[in-house]
Amino acid sequence: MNFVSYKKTVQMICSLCLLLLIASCSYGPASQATVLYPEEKKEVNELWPDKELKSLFAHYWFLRFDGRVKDSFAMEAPYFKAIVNENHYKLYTKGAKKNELIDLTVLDIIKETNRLYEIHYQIRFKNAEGEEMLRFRKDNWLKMHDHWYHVLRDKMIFPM
Amino acid sequence: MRKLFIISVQMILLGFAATYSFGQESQQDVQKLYQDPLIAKGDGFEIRQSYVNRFQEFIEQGNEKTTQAEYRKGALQLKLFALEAERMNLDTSLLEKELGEKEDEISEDESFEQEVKLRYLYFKNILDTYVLDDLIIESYYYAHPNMFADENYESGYIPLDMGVQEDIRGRIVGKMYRKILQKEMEELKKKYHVEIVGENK
Repeated sequence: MNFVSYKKTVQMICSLCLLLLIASCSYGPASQATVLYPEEKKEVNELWPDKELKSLFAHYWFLRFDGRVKDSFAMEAPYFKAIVNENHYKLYTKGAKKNELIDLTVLDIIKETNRLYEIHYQIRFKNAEGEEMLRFRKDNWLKMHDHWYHVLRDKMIFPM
Repeated sequence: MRKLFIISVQMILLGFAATYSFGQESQQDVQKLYQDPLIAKGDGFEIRQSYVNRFQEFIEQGNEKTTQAEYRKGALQLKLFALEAERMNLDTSLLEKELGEKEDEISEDESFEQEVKLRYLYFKNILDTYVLDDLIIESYYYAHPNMFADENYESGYIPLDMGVQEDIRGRIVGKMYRKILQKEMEELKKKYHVEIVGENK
């Protein structure tokens, strides 16, 4: 094999690898929920304290609706994980698995303290009967030691 | 010669009596085993149905009722915690002082009551000494700013000092007690090589 044909072969292999990489990125399983902002309040997108939280928020809700309990439980605040049994959490979150998440619209992001943020959002999903549902919710996120944690607050189910 | 005969007869009678009483005891033992089946056993102890019944009686005094399986689990926990408390030399006299008990108030079933006290002391000791990761305490503190808000401090919040840390630790451990008990029981079962006998295996 001369140098020119060797170079061609290497080029072909590299191109093939690149194509495979692109294909896997395009068709691989999504891990983020679709996050939208209201037409009249697009600036909410600027209120995220950092890119990481923006991405984690979308990822967390994707996991919740996908029924990946272990993964979403791992994102909860350390005190919550210490107190709440994972099976109890599984029972609490299993309702979401029956629904199909359409999108989340972030309505507001409020800085409660330097570490704690409250996200106001609406969640659009299809229930088990195929009906489109809309819910308004608030989510809390805590930053500690450069790491974001979801703060699940439900006084009825998990009085803390 | 006569004397020797009398002694021999006495010896035979004593022997017979001993054999007879031994036989009777064995029969009683078999009967007892049949009437009072073994529920669980481990290093240095066994739990029979009569002990579970006593435990059930004790629980039902407090107007609570549960299933037989739960009474058996509870009786095993009582026994293991009491054994561990004894091994650790936890002093029940302090508890008696705390409860204001007098000597003449000691119940008939003294050993059972003693085990109940030892169990309580052991349980209290577990919760009092349970170590929580700093991250757990910190996350509770920072996730509940309203709980620690105080205008008297420059920051607007009570600082996360030793007192606050201990307060949070107590709150969290109090809510974790089922998890802690379950973990403790699993460890003690291994330590005492507990074998569950019968239907609750």
